[in-house]
Amino acid sequence: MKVTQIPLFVLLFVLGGMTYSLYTKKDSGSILPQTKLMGQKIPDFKLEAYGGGYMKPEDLKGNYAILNVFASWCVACQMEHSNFNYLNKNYDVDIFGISWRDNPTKLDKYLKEKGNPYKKVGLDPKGELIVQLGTRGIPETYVISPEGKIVYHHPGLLERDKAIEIAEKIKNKAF
Amino acid sequence: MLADIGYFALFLIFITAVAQAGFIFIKNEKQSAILTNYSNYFIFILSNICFFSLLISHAISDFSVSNVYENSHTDKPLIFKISGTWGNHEGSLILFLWLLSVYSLLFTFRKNLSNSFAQKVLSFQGLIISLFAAFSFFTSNPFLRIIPAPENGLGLNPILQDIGLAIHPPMLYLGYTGYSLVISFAVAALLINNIDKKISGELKFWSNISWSLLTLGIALGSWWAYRELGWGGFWFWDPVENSSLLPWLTGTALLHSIIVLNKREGLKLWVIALSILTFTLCLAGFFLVRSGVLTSVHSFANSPERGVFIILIMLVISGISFFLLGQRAEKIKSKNDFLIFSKEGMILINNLFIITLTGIVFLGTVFPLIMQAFGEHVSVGAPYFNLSFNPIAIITILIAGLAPLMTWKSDKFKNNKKYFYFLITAAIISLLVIIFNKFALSLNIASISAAIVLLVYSFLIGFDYKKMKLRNLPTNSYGVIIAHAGAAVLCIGIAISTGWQKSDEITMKHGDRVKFHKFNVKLENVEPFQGKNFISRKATFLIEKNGRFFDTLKPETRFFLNEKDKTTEAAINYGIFSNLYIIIGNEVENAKGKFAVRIYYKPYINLIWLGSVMIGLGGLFSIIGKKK
Repeated sequence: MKVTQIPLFVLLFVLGGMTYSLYTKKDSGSILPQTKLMGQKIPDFKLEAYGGGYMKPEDLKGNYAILNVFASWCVACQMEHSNFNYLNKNYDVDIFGISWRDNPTKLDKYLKEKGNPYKKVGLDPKGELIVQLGTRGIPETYVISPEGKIVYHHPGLLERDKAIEIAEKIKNKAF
Repeated sequence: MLADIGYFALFLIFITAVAQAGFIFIKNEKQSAILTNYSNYFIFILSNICFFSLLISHAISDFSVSNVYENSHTDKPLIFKISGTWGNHEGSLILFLWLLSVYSLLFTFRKNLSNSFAQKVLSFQGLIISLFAAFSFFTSNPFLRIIPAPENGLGLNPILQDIGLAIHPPMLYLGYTGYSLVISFAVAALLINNIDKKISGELKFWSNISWSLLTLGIALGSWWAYRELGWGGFWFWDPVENSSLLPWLTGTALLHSIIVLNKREGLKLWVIALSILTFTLCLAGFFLVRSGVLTSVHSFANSPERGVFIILIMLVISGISFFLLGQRAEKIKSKNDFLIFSKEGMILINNLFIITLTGIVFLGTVFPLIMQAFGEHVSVGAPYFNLSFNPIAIITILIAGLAPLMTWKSDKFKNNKKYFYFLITAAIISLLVIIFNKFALSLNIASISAAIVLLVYSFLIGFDYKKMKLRNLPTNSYGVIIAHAGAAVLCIGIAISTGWQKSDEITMKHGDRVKFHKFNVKLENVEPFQGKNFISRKATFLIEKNGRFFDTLKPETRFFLNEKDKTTEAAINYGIFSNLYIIIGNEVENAKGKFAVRIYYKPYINLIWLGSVMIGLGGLFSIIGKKK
């Protein structure tokens, strides 16, 4: 093959990728592996919390809790944020946040601007906890049982329907 | 009625453009050139009918046209009714189509090229126009009717109701559509196996125009985002911003390699490849924005079928072009008889750096898309771009400064010793400043010193420091000086305004007074205000500087009644040397009368707009000023 023929093949390859992305965009979240900790206890941690104090596994226990890993710089997180505001307003669920690699002032701005649906936000500047949790990219959302076990894991953006489905399940204790 | 005429015209454009593309196969060159000219005029007339019938439907609020119904409202000021024409997917396509035909027409007014070459260019233009007309006609018809007509429209996305946005898309599209001529030139050149001086001169003309307008278009978008989005920034590395930056970057590389082609008949294939790549990236940007695969502040209604159509357009246009490139490459002979240490060499090296930058932006933009294919939603934030883009951009800036000062073909180090000494001095000084500053903001400091070097070098193009007098330059060289100095100014503006900005977020109630940077900020009052199609909450801030009255700023939050949406209107004190930027947010929950307020102090941010305008005008100047 001549060097000058390479661009055509690159183009075809890229166009193929574009077509593929077009048809896979709907079923997002389904192919990504679930965390290996599914059904197990959440790892022990102690994170500094937004607004002072600490966040520990004990905070999550007692009720079903939604644990959302996010960051103010992440566009997909910004997109799903209103869904958590919605749950916070319309359902009696505890939502916790873990903010990954975030700048505290930017996080502060983000939550003031977009609303703070979280009962507590733990700061994970180095990603120590989220690696243990098995988070592969953000946003990701977990459901923690009253006993502190991970009972559900949703990698990727949490759509409104899915968010409501989770909240309903928690309401009916169906996990 | 008007809309139906427009719809019919759209169909005729498609048919005529297909014919025009086909005229290339007519053996008799004279006949084919005449036919092509006629069809070209005809397309121009038709696309005027098409575009203006839609524009007038918007202007007179004809809600029987669904495009008007969905995007307009009688309460809207006239200017935004008109700009509403291209404030949506379907209408913007018609604008795109119209501009394509405008370029094709203007092209025929320049009579420097042989008829048979011009015919080939116009045939390929015909192909591009036919594909876009089909795209519009079959998937995005703006002339759909609603019967009976609704009483009133749904309104235009409020953040689009801004003067910056009324002119930003047309300007940007003037750039994109201009590059359609550039790719048509490339294809025609491949068909005749050559680019001679005349062709490269014309190519330079069109690529310069497209590039300058694209520059101004991007700058306008950035200016709009700065004033309107209320994030206090000018560039967010948003996928859509990036998709306009990609063709700009390759367009920049193209612009400079055409100079080598024009002067020295070198880099022919490189120029052709860049020409194809630039328009391909324009189309890819179109895909990213319109297909809905990525999400950004630019929302357009979308469906996969549109995405497929754009992929088809790319397959045909870029596919044919790259295929021809692969087939004909060997037949096109360049005179690449230069050393790397020469003007050509520096331009080529810089081209490679710019392509690297393009790669970085491309990767950052499509990475979420790639991950999405595996079912993951991730986003690549500004940190990636700032860390990978900026250092290479600094090197690019330095080489850009050096290249115009060197001689063609081969140069010697000793002729350029002084320039290098200056460069090294600048590097040492900036290193000292960085160390002295404990490595804080080192990238910003490095950018500033690189930009200063570029600025000084730019002036040396026109000033002979040995004889201490102005050089006698051909007029178009002043364009180079303006554009390069503009790049330096832009770079300084970016580095200072991001590195040394101050910002604060506070909650304030009536009568509160806070200290911010050099200012005393007092919230005088917050009042409701009734606009034509919105109600707003307008705050009045009294700003004092050094104990004296400085300015009164009135930021707003607007609630658009018809669209049920709100926008933040930042209030900005546009000082020459700095901007003070205030945004009023929502009332704080559980605390009546307290408002979230954000304040930014942006030193030297005006340099960003000044620099961008200089770059754009410099580009235009270099074609207006005829060579000696």
